[in-house]
Amino acid sequence: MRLAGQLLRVRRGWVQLGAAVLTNSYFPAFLKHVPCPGLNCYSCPAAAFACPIGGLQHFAAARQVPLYLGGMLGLIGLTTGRLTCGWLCPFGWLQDLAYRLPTRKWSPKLRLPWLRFAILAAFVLALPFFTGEQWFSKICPAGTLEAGIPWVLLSSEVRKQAGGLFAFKVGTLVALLGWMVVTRRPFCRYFCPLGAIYAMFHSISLFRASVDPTACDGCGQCRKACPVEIDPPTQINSMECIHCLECVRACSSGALRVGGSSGAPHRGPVEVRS
Amino acid sequence: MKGQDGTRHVAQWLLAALLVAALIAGLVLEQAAQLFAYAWPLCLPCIGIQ
Repeated sequence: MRLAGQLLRVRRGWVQLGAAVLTNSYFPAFLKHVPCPGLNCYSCPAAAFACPIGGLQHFAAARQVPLYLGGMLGLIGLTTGRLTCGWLCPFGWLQDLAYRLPTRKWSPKLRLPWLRFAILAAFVLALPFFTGEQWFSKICPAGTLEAGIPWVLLSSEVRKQAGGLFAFKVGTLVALLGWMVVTRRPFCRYFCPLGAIYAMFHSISLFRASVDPTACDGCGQCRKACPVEIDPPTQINSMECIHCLECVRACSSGALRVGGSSGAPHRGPVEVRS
Repeated sequence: MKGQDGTRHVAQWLLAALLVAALIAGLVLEQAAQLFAYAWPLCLPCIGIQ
């Protein structure tokens, strides 16, 4: 867990910035054999890697088992869980930045943890399998932001062909951007199919956090720091946690930490001091 | 707790072996090349073109 100790010493925003630059630094095209660990559109003019969700749709549409992509995404999930969501995903970083804008905030009470999985099953796997078309790409806001808008601005050919679907995608993106400003990470919490894939491995990943219930004084600082608004003392290794480690940083009592023998969640009630 | 840890470690190793095998099989089947072919040059639905 030496890596974990190092992670706590660096500012997450700098790592996210570095990852966004690296994934969009237009290395020679041979890196497009490799899926990007985070959600990043491969059609972005600067993209260096392939989009993992686009790749999965491609294999589903071709009716092939995505062994290479599945193995690679599974290994990322098994080693780090959703650490990628918290530290490396450019779209996650965008949401963190948008939420910093000083406006009134809104925290939706409705949690739909199954929705991401439904989107993965329907739009990424089933619909492409049965229709041969890439359905998630038609609604993907990362594609609109990183590829659609830049290409429409850069290319007159693309501009001529952009019609109703482009307008729909831009409208969806604008609505989502507005939501990102008032709510923490709404795309990650409700819609992201890549987060759903990593979430399946999160509870057994090698990288873990743990809680010592005897040390927790119930101050609630971890809850305030959490970008996906979970209750870290009880949900630190749950599928909704993105392992950003903001709760561990915020914990003044030392109850939350990276590593630990089991990382088993504390099941008892934790009172929040008012 | 130790029992839980042991079960998790066994699950981790089994899953890791399975995933590495899938990754190698995918490489042998040239799926990385397919991913490149798919990812080049542009994804029209990503951009918003029918």
